[in-house]
Amino acid sequence: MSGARWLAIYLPRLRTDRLIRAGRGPSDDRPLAVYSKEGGAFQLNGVDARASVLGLNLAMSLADARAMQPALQAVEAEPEEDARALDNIAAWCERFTPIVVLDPPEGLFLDISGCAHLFGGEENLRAEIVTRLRAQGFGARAEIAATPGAAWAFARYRQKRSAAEQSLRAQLSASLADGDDGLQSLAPLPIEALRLDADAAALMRRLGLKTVSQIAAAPRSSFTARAGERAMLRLDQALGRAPEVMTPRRPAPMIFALRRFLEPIFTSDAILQVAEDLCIDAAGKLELRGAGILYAELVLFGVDGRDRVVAINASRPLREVKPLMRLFREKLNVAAGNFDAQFGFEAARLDIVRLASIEERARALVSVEEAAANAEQIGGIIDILSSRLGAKRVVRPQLHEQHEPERAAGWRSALGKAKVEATPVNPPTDGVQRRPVRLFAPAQPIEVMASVPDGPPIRFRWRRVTREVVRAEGPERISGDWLRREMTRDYYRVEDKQGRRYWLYREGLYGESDAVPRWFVHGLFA
Amino acid sequence: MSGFAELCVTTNFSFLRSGSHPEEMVEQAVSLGLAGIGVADRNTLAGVVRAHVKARSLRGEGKGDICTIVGSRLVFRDGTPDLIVYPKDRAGYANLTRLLTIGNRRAPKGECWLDFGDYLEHAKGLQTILIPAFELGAEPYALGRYLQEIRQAAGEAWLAAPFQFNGEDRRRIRRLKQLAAQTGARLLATTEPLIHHGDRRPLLDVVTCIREKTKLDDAGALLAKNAERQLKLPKEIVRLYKDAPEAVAESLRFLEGIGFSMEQLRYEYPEETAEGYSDPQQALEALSWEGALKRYPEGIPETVTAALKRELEIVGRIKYAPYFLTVADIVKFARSGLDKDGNKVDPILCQGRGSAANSTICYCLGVTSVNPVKSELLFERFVSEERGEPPDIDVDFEHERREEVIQYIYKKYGRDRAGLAATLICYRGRSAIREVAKVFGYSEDRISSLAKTLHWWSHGVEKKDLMEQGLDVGDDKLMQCVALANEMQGFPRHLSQHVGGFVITREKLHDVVPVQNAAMKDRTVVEWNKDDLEDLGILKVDVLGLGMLTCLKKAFDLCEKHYPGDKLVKLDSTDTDDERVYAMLHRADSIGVFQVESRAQMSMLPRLRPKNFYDLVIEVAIVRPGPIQGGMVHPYLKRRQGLEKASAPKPELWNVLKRTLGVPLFQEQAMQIAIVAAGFTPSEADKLRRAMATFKRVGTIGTLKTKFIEGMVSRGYDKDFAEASFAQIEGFGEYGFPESHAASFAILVYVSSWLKCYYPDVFAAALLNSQPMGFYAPAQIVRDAADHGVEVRPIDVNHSTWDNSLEPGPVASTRLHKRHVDMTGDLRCTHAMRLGYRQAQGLKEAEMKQLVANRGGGYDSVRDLWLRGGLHASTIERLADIDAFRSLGLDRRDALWAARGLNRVGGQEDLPLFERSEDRTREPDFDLPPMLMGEHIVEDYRTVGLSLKAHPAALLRDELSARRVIQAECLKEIRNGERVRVAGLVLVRQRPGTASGVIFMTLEDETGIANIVVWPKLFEQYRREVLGGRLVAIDGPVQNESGVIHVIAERVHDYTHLLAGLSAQGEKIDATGPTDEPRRGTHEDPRQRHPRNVRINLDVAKAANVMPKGRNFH
Repeated sequence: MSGARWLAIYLPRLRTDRLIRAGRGPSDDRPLAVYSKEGGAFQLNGVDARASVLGLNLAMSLADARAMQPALQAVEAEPEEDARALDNIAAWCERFTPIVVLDPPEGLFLDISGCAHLFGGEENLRAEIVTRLRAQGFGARAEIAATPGAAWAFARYRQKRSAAEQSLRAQLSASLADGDDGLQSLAPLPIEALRLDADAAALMRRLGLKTVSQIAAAPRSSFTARAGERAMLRLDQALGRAPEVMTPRRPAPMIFALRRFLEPIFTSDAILQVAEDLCIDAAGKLELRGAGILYAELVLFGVDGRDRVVAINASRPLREVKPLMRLFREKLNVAAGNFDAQFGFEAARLDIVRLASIEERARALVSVEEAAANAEQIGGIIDILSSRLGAKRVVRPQLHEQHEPERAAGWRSALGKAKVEATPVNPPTDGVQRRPVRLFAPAQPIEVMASVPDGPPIRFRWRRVTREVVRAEGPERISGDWLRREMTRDYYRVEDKQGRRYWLYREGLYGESDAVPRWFVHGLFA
Repeated sequence: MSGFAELCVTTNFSFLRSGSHPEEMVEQAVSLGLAGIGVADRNTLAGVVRAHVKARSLRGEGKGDICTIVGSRLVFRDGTPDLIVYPKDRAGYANLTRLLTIGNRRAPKGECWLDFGDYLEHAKGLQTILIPAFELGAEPYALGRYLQEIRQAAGEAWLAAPFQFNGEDRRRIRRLKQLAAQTGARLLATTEPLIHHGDRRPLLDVVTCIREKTKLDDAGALLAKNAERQLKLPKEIVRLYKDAPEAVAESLRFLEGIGFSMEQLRYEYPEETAEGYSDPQQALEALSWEGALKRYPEGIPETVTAALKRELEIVGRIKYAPYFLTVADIVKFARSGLDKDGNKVDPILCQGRGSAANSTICYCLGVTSVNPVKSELLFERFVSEERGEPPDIDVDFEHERREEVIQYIYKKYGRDRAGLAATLICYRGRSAIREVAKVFGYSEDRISSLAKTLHWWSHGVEKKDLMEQGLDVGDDKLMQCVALANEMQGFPRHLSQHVGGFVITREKLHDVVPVQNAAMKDRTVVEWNKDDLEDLGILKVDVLGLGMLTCLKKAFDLCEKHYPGDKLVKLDSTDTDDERVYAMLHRADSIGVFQVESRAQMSMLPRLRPKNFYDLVIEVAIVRPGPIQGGMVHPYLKRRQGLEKASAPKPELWNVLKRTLGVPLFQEQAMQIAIVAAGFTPSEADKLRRAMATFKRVGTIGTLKTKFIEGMVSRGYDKDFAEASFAQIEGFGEYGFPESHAASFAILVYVSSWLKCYYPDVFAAALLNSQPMGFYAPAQIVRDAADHGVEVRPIDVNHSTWDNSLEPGPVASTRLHKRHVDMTGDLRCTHAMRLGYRQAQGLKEAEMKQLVANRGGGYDSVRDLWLRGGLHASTIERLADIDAFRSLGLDRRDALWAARGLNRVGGQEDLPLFERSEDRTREPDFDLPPMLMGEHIVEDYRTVGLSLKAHPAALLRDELSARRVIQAECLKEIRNGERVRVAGLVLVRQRPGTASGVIFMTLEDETGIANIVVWPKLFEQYRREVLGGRLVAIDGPVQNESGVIHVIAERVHDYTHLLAGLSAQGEKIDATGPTDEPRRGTHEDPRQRHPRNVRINLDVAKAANVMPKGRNFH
């Protein structure tokens, strides 16, 4: 045996645990389940402990479950969120070993070869992981074996050990390296423990092969002729007779730069200096690829075992050290107060996580270049402002397709693209502007004389001045949102004797309710 | 004439584009005092009949006269602006229907593709309104060109000047006025209403969102800007159009040009059927008398002669002869034994149902099997001179062969003269609340709890249902959602094809009604549904499929094959009094029998004890929502058992009610009560019946109800009786049987009972071969056959055919279950039933037929089957799964091993080449673990849905006994009221709408069936066990009422987890008896189990999922 040691983590209730942790679980003692749509029916794919005590299980449809437990709180599955949660847990696990392998939907593998001693031995490591995950709200089981396959099987299918056995193992853990995960321990487990897909497992069961031992005893050639290679391969892998390729969660970033320090560094100036060095290192590599940075992380490895990550986002690919450093400076100014360096940092790495190619522009026409430079400048300003103030605080205007004038425009984050691009409004073909560019918010009340029910104003008083209307058009009737029980408005474009143009409206129709309609001026036409 | 007519009305038959029904539009137009209304929906005439009928009935009731014109809004695919067209005369109408038909036929179902050129070709006789679509600022040249072309083609053109409240109406109307002046078109005022009243704006927005598949929050400018596209008061229109008063006046001038009304669609019946006679009436008379002679070979009885004469006279007067001939011809074809091209085939079994059974003519023509004279059925129910509607003849055919009849009709009349009626699919109950809640942006989860508040019997969401589902009735948004969903009930969603209503015309169909493509290839559907056709007096014949007819036909064929020479009872047999048959029904031994096999019927049979044919008619009619809701069942039973005297509430009703001992049971009796006791005219009574059938659609029965009850009370009836009678009519509305219909069905009840009584082998095989049909799953049918002494043999590669078949077998009467010993002398069957491949899931008919064809002297190994049978290896595996290799000495596991070992890469042909080299026969031995009986049973259920090896409860009997569960067959020996515990697989859960929340469960163990009653309160407590359990135990007292045994549940236990242990059960089945204690305590409450056992739980689910889930019925 190569001496490899693997720890498999199994998170049987990841889907519900995640919701409960996020405060989205039931506030009372109702059971919680997660469902997803499978072939037209809603199927449960996660239940919390309470639901399972009440008899709900993953083989049920939502309808059945609901019929049995009307109080059930059911939440639609969010696979991406679940995947993210698993990934977060994996990231957290990287403190135990650099090699963490995702095993979606609810498992992880940790290659703990040679690092268990750092945590007081295998059993203590295992116990620490399980305990700390539980403390964070994730029910977990973990087992250690010489192969990922065996660890996987034990984590899911081996009976729980007694407390006495656990403590005994903790005492012996240093010397306990094998004898534990050979065929002997795998044999009594059900064949599902071999990580078979559903079809393969069903075939085994149909053939009466329910435990690993039965498969191990089967004559190899005639067995694989009928059941395929897969089951035997999985068995071999679990027993370490066949290799298995494991892909760690965090592959080395495509481009990265690393510096180690002889003495730990503390000050932000030192950190900035390191960042700049790393940027210079990276820039060379970026240039070879003709690419720039969209998203990068500066990982600072603390002496205390914790990592601090400073991430930068750019709205267009960046490679020049100067703009990059501008971003880092902004970020560190904000972040430095938050992370206390404690014992300092012993190393730093710049991971370029997302990059995009930079179009090389040579010999472009001056005007185009200027325009581009202009856009770039704006982009630069947006980047700086966004990193200083926060992405949500830097916004640009956006049109919404809504009848109500107040809701016809709004703001969105200046970084990134709009979710739905409103159809651009073409200038009216007759040159008549229908609405003012700016609206009074709130609209200003006025006193109006007009003919009932919906004649245009004849004169009105605004800001203590009476204005005679000489021209008017309307009404444009906008009835508002009935869901919010808004009142109907009639809008008029009017022109007074002085040639000033106003956008007025009457709120409420005559006869619509008892309230007397009121008038407002909502905007002015230039 | 002065005033205004609104001519551009869009109703909700422009699917999901309007917020009002056509009826509402017409009614509102009347109450606003409009001079006229023109209804024009998008490329369709589907809604116009409703508008027309509404206007007609308002006129009839003196509630206002409004000129209603019908047309269509043409929406083009080539960028032409919308045109609204109204036919001036009949020829113009035909042009319109043809135009729409062309558009429909070239487009996929539900769409209509029109080009301007199509319109121009059909513009003659159409008054055309152009709906301008242009932006101010753009020059409307294009519109001018269209107007000129319309004028050239149609003579005149109108230009709509819609008032839109968009702020610039006056400028816009002025421009349109100029345009009209330039082109010689006439300007027309309109608000283009989409809703009849401003209050419908929310609903309009909701349907818009449904159409655009978006949510209210995201819809933005798609929503209505205001509520002004509604019908308005004429004086309001005059005010709005003060710059163009001529546009308002023009609306009246427009009306004057229209000389067409729907009344002109006088229908003329097809002529083909009078061949060889001078006219249809003569043909009908000749055929009727000829038929009468056949029916009465010993001479036509006096009463029949009289009835026939009278009927023929009435039919002659109202000229319905061609209709009878049409139907008779279809029936004749079905029985002829020839297909549409004249090739010889099996005759198709058929029988008329419904009110046609009131007619002696139909009886003599062979359309119906009920002798109306014998049953005293009234011809006037069927054909009424007063109603002026064509009679309704529905004919049932074997459901598997209905298509042949349909193809015959197409062939005989041609596709341009025969089409299927449409069915209007409406938003109902759950579909309405689901769609509306989706638009409101509620989560799937919330939507399903909302949908749950609706039951099939509710007419809308009610507050108490919402609270029951834990929904907050104080939430304004939610309540608006619910209110809108209720408002949307009955909104048309789309047109679909009627199951079998055929329209046949003398002229081309597309001159009468637009024709569209159906979802099914080679089918065409007209745009009107049954009611519309009936309202216009257009002939239609219902060609329906009935599973029981298929079953009977198959049974007769099996009898002829296996019991040649035996005399059989058939549909036209007059002998319906075999007391052995009735004796069987008295014991409620009716599984598989038509109509009377349901749980409710089974508990009625021993009480009603039918003794003759008319009793069967009553049996069929009594267990229906009508009589149940009207509370008529118990009074009738009491009178029948002689506990109460038969009498009518008042002597005047005795004539109506004497045949049913004074208790109204049939639909026509309820109608008669309306006439005799509540003072309705016959046509009012008929209106009442129709209002009931459609009350979900229109929802105005309140006034009729008041009139009915007050009418009866004022004539001295008890108010309670009046209420009950009305409740009964309500129940009849959708689910009632007229007597003639019950009589037609009673024949099928008798014939199927007769077969079951004498030939249970034939009956079971025929039933299984006609699935899906009826109330029971194949497992129960098989079980019932076995109880009746029939040996049932498993599916086998060397014996089975696709269908279930009969093989020589033991004499059934020697093997009867003791429950049925009474039948020892009756049984004539001497065959065993061999299950066919159709019983197994996942086998293909063509492949299995090939297997049978290639079988020869039999297959001697899996390999032999593979080489000769011509099957895919995967099919062979499937056969192994269903344990079909027993005749080769292989059980399913060995067979699977063998099947998996077949060369799965190469074809069968190249095998011999490799036989030598890859010597698979010399594989090392590997003994697969033997399969236990329990595992086999689980697999049997999984693959075939039943097991002939043993009942799962038999294997679990020790565990069950340890839990003090008694066997179902012991129930009859238990004293009334004694408490017992029974357990079994849940076959059926039924929650009839008429039983106020009571759940009836049927449990099955190895000895029989236990009927359980679960009261609503207990159900709430044991919801999970009742609905989720597959193996369930019930504690409670036994109730034995004239042989009908129920257990009234007091506690419910879910034993489903025991099924997981089934796979580990095996030897026990034949062992002398187990010695070991049940492994766990007797009272293992699943709630007590630790959560970490989820995985074990899953195993339970796996084994349990294989077992029947139980069929749920309402």
